[in-house]
Amino acid sequence: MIKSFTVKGFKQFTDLFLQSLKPVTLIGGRNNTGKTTVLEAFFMFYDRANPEVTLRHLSWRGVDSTALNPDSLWSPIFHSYDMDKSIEMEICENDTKEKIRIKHNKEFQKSVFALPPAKGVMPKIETGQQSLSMESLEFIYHINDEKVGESHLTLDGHRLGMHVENLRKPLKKVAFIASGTQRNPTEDSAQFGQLDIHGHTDSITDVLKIIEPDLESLTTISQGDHALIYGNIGMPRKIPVSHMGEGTAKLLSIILAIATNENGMVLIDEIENGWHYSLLPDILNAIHKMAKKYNCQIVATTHSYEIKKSLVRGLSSEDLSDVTYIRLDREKEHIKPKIYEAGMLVAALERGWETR
Amino acid sequence: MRFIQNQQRMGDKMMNITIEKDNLLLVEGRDEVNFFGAFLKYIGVHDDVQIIEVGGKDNFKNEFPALLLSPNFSAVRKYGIVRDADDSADNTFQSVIGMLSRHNQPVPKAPGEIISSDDITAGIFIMPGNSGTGSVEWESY
Repeated sequence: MIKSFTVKGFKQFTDLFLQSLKPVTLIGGRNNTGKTTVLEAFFMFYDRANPEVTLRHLSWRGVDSTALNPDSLWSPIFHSYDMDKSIEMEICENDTKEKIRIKHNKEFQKSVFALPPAKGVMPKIETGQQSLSMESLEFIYHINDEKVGESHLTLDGHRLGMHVENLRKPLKKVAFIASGTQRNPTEDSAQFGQLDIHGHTDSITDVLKIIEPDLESLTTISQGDHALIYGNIGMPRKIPVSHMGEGTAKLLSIILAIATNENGMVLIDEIENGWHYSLLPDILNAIHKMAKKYNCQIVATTHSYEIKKSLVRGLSSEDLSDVTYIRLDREKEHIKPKIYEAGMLVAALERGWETR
Repeated sequence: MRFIQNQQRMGDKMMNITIEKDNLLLVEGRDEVNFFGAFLKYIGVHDDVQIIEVGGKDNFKNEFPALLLSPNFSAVRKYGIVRDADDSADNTFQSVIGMLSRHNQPVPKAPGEIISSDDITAGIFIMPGNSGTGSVEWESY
């Protein structure tokens, strides 16, 4: 489990240090204090060798298209859009400190060397080596202060490219569940299929029964290029899960994400959306149990008082020790985290003190 | 201006309490809220002081830090903490100053002493007197 996360120079954050992270961390705070940005930072940390790494946060926020130049593509992730500064993020987990530094490189040189000579021909020495000079966004990775790799995101005319050196696979898999209603049913279906092969789907049906008590079973049905998950709710025919209501589809996406990111992380934006408050205690308890089963860390943002009340109602005292609530406060120019351990959150809720 | 008291929790009905004044008196429970409410009114300062229940021996350790995190706490200038001596005035005092120290609050050297640091002033008052044992409930009779 990740215990702490430091973010410097990324979007709203000059220097944000989040500690006491637990298996389930809830992030609250007023609008614009950076709740979603925390999730985006976590995701970017583990999103390696992907030319679209700086575009994801735009699509999660509903931005469909953007101009193809470094300023539009890259400056939005820098604090105050200032590409002269650098971004740093550091994660501490067990005894490992993993760090990433992102910098705008105005002149990234990638030299092209002369080819080896053909057989029988005198070797020729090239006097002018061709070099490609372009702007790049460099990502440098360290583990425990030792450099372990780097990658360069380049824009060559209209093409995004990634030059990679010694990059290891990230230590974790991470999924991001955005707040809107966008789902990827085919992806959900593929994930469900994988779990079905290994016999893990009963627990998924049990969780969905919280919202849809008549649900008997789930199946993946392939339809040409697409596939959908269908459920049997006692009608003469099966129906797609997406027809059962947005809340059911969302819960399914979350559970699938947890089950397919074992030892990884699932980031959920605006976790309260789509569910009736009366179901929240059971839903949150189910998410916690699933996350524990797959050793998957959850970080979720919320505006809602009900979510915190429901956590306290839905989880046992022992399970509550797996929860931290962090409220981000804007104090002058800086964002400061206020950390509520489980006991403090329970106390504040019982007293009726404002925590949002 | 009406004296502000904490809303009583009725089953699930929760009123969201916010800090509304610069000066707070943090007390253990309802008896203290009533006693000090009347007392502050008697000495004419009830308009300037908000009384907040923060629990005693068992709950203070979670409730006090949670109160410090309340959105308006940064506007508070002065606060007093009133605790029952229970079994030992000195032990209670030590446990409260431990909490204050852990959360970067001003730390008085003795009960009744008012001390300031970083724009905030605090004092700790152990009831019934600053030594010995007992509680406010007895004093109210």
